Amino acid sequence: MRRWQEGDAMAFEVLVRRWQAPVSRFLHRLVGAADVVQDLCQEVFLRVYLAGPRYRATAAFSTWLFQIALNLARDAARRRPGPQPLDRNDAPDPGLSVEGAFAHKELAQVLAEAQAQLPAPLREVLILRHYENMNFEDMAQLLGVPASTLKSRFAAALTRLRGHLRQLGWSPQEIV
Amino acid sequence: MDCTAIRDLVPLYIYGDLSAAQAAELKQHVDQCAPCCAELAALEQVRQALAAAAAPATVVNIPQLYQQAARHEQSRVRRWRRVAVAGLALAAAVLLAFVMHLEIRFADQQMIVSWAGAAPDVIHTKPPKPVSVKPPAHAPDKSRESKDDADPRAHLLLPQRSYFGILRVQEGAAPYLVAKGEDGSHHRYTYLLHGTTLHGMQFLKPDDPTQPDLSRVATVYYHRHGPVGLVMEKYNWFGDGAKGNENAYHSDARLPAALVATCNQPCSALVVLWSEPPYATIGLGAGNMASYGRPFQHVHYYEIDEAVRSMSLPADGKEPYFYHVKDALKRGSNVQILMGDARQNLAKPWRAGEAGKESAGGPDQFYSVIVVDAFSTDAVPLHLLTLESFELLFKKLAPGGIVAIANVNPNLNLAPLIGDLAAKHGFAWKRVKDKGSHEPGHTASDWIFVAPKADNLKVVKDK
Repeated sequence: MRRWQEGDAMAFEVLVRRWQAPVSRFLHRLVGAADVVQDLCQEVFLRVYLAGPRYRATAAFSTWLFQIALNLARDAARRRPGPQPLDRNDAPDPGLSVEGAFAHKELAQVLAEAQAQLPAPLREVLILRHYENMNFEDMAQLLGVPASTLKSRFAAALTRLRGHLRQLGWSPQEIV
Repeated sequence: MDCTAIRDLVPLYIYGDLSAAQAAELKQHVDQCAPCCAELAALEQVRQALAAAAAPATVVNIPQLYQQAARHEQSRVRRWRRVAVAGLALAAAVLLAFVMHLEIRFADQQMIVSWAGAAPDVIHTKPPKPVSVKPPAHAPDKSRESKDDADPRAHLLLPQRSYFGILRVQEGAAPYLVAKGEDGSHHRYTYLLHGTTLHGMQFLKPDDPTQPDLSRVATVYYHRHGPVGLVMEKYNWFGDGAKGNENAYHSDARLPAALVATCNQPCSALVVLWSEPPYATIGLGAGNMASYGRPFQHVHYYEIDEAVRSMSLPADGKEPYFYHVKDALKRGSNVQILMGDARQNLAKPWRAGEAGKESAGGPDQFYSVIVVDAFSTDAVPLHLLTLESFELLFKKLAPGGIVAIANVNPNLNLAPLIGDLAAKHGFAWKRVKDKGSHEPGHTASDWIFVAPKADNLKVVKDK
């Protein structure tokens, strides 16, 4: 980001390639619909490009980037009311057997539905902590909520997710 | 810590978010507590399950992103340009309003726009109500200039532009012109503005017959108690009507009696001899001088503007805006309006029976009083102020007659000019200033009286 601000035009493209996958996965988990994610991801980096000259490194770049993505995802969610089950069209691990691949796909579907049933504040914390491996201090800065509250939400999210999974017929033995 | 507290911390323990001391305490508890141990195992399995839900990554289209950024930048520039233009326009409007003293106000269902001290343009948003509600107390005016812009209730009846200027007839109630009725109600009236100069007004006949009728009252600077009014009273042979009834003279009843007695035509000459002396007015205005007209009395007007004539005597049979002339004709006054330039008309020979026609002029040694009120706001007709003009006017005066000149021009004081002319050529002159009074329609005025002999000016009373 600093290199780009100093005039290195190629630095922006490097930045996009570095962060496009984490951002798109994050958006995918928040929003669910693949067609929307493509547009949202494009919009995130457009905003980064437009706001780049004004960016000041007061926090981690990832926090600022995910803040933009989160705001866009929330706007999209408002336009598409109701939780959207996540699309699960990703290819299973090629190392799995046919049965293993089928079970993996089935588990992914169940997880998507279970996560979609979580309230947005809990889902956001779960995604940021588990998938983005963000600590609670950075999360507090991003979401504008005290870290202690976020820890409580995270504990609640994990516990409720287990309950939803059980309701959907999942048992620990399905982990492959 | 009990089991409930431990279970709240298990998710954080799994993800390594507890301090070393909390983690050790939780580990110690879980090792000894089978339910909590099961909880830990179950949540650990959930964590492992979450890893199965991988999300696909998308690729950002960087060239498209650059195009989007360019379009966004262009629209941002356009937006700021529009904001700048709108801001400049607003600033210009505010500046203009400040410089022009623009004022927009709403009153009595009207939007009134005025600027730079000009008379307001009144835009009716709904039909205006009659102007008879709670006007301020009547007070004399300090000048004869129009104060219609001080009266938000005034409304325009007739805007007209003629060759000689902008004429407006308005109905209204400027405070200093309002007459207060006996029961506290107020009279409506119409008035004539030439440019910004008030050229006369007339009280309207009251709708309520119990209210006093002031429609015959000569108003503004022609008022009965003003300088010219007092001169006209000298020629009121019967001396009636001055007090009490302001609107009628008992001797007006001569008309029907005379008609019966003279059997019309054969003896009409005798009737003329029986009337008050003739007088003339140069400049018709609202026709106020006609209110002094008595039965059979000759009342001549010299008027140049057809638009002004049509306000008192419309050619198409419509109702006039001012009734002084029409009422005088009803009383039997011999009112004639000689159209054209006053000096040219006066110079023409008089032809009995052709008054009002182009060929007819004013008769010699005929008028007891000639009122000169042809001075508008913007222009002074200088050809009426020359030696030749005065010689012509004196030729038309009857023995003992006088010329009364309204000194109305706000930019040019006529008194020193006339004074110099009089001193040089040996005729008499006298200036009388009137401060006005609280009487209905009586405003301040400034008159200059001129006569070929000083004795003639004895009829002029100092105020």
